[in-house]
Amino acid sequence: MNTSPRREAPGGRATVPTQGTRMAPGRYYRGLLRRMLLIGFLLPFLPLAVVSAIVITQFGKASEQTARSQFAESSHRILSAIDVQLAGATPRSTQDTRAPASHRREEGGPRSGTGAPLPSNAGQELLNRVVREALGPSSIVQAVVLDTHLKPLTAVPAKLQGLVDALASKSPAGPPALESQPVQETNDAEGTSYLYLLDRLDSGPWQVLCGAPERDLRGGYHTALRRTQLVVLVTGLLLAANAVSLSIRLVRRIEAADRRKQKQTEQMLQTGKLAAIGQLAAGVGHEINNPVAIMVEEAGWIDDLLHDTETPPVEVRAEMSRAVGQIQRQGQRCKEIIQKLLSFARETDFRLQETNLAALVADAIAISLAREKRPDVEIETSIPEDLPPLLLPANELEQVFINLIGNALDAMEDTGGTVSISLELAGERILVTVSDTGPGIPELDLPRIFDPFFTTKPVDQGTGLGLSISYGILKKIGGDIRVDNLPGRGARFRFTVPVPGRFPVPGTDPQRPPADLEVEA
Amino acid sequence: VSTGQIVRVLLVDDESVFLETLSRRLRARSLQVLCVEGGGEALTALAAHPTDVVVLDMMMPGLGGLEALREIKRSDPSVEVIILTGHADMESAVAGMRFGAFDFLMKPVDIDHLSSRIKDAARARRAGTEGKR
Repeated sequence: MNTSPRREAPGGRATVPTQGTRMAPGRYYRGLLRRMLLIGFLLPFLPLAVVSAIVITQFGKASEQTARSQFAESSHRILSAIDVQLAGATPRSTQDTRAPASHRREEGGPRSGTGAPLPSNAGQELLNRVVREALGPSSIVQAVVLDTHLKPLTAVPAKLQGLVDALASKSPAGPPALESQPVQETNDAEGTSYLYLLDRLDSGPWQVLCGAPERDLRGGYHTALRRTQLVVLVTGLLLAANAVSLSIRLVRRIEAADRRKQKQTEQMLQTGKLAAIGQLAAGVGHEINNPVAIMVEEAGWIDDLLHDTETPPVEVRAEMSRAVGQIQRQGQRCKEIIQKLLSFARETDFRLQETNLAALVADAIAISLAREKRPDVEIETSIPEDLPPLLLPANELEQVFINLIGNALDAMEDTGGTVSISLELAGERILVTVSDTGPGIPELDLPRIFDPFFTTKPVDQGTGLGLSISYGILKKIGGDIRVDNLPGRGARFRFTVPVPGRFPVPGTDPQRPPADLEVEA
Repeated sequence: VSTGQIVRVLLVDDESVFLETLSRRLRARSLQVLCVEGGGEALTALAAHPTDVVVLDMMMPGLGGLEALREIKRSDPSVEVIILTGHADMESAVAGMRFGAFDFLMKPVDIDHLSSRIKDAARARRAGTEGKR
């Protein structure tokens, strides 16, 4: 559900490092996940629930009607059975026991409705038996004989107790209206729903209550309802589980894709920045190089003249010589500045030469240590002994090594430590690692470390061009450079250099290798 | 270069001021210098004047340095060419070397370095042509 708090919303990080506004980590993705869960779960589940509800309702109506008609049928059968039985049996307790039932009804005359004589104990027993026989052994519908005040005259079955109480409490004053709806429905105090039928007996001054809990009558319906509910519930749970897992996976994918894209954008921005500054540098360099060349030549010419002729007085000669020297020096300075800019613009004259990398690294270390004496630092190298001489832009690679070693030395300025340089040939690339045991690079600086003019050093101690020049050089020759912090302590720069054969030499015609020209000459 | 053997240099650059001064200084270093202001003119001059070493600018209107280099090497492969340019880039440097340039130098150049490279080139040319004979 929740995304890791480390993750950041797109556009939050180094793409616009100067902006202070960042989205809360993962908030965007949590919102996305919520929406997806809602859609992924509700969309399939709602139709299912609606269809189930419709089916249940329809089925419920049908089953209710069936239950009513079945109940009515059973009740009438029971009623007439009781009636027939009592017609034959009542005289045993009240009048002539031998009289046939058919006669009894006539002899009883029209029912008075003025209250029936309470049966004796024997009569009550008889009534009970009559009811039991009328019901049969496995009847869902139960019956009880009541007097006109709804007082039970026979044993009340447990299942009807609630119904009897409910009817008695409903109409304490007298008998309820009977005829309008033979089959009626009511709830008892506990909320159980009953179907019942209350009718006078033809055979005596009593009423018979037939009734059954609705649940018993509609047992099939209730089972089906429970099953349907179960199926809907299980399906819903499965859908929910599926929606959750799918959504999480999908959101993670999206997040990963976003991060990849962000990284690419960062790289593009980096390249773009370098390209823009490179173009500027190249433009300045080209514009200024020719006039500087003339300046240097003119000064040189004056110098030549001064050495060849003896006409000006010695003091003047000395002064002119000094001035000319100054022009030459300053011109030379211009040249160096321009060459730095051009090397940053990656447009300097890269010269491929056969290079012994071990010697190159040793030279770079020697130069770095000559610049700054560091007895507190140890430099370890791990270079395969069988590394063949390779055709590489040696000067530029040396510059990369010097930049990285210099960086490492500066990082360990207060602490001292170890710089480790390792080199290995992996297929068509050379992998180089330069790591130190300094404090590492602050996380915030990591994305900007290759930016031109980005420096953490004091104003007069670093141009902020070293790493971006290295970056430029390696990109130019088809390599790459990355930086990270070591788990324990220190920073690690890793770069790759393509080995010859893979070295991109743009602007050359492979149809015309140099050997042809040599042979012709 | 052995004494008495004059090294004949053809300077090719579209900046006449630069040509003027550079040629003076090279002459002061006992080289025989002819100047032209473009690639086309260089080819014409080469046909007319025997030349040991061509010092060639890259960015020139008309026939550019790289094309001129190819033409020069095609018409006389023994002529050595030193590229001297303010517009140095890796592509043209590598291409120049592949097309048989003797060296690739950046402006502004140290005059003594340039003259010594010219003499090296001349020596290489003479060794090459003598070996061929």
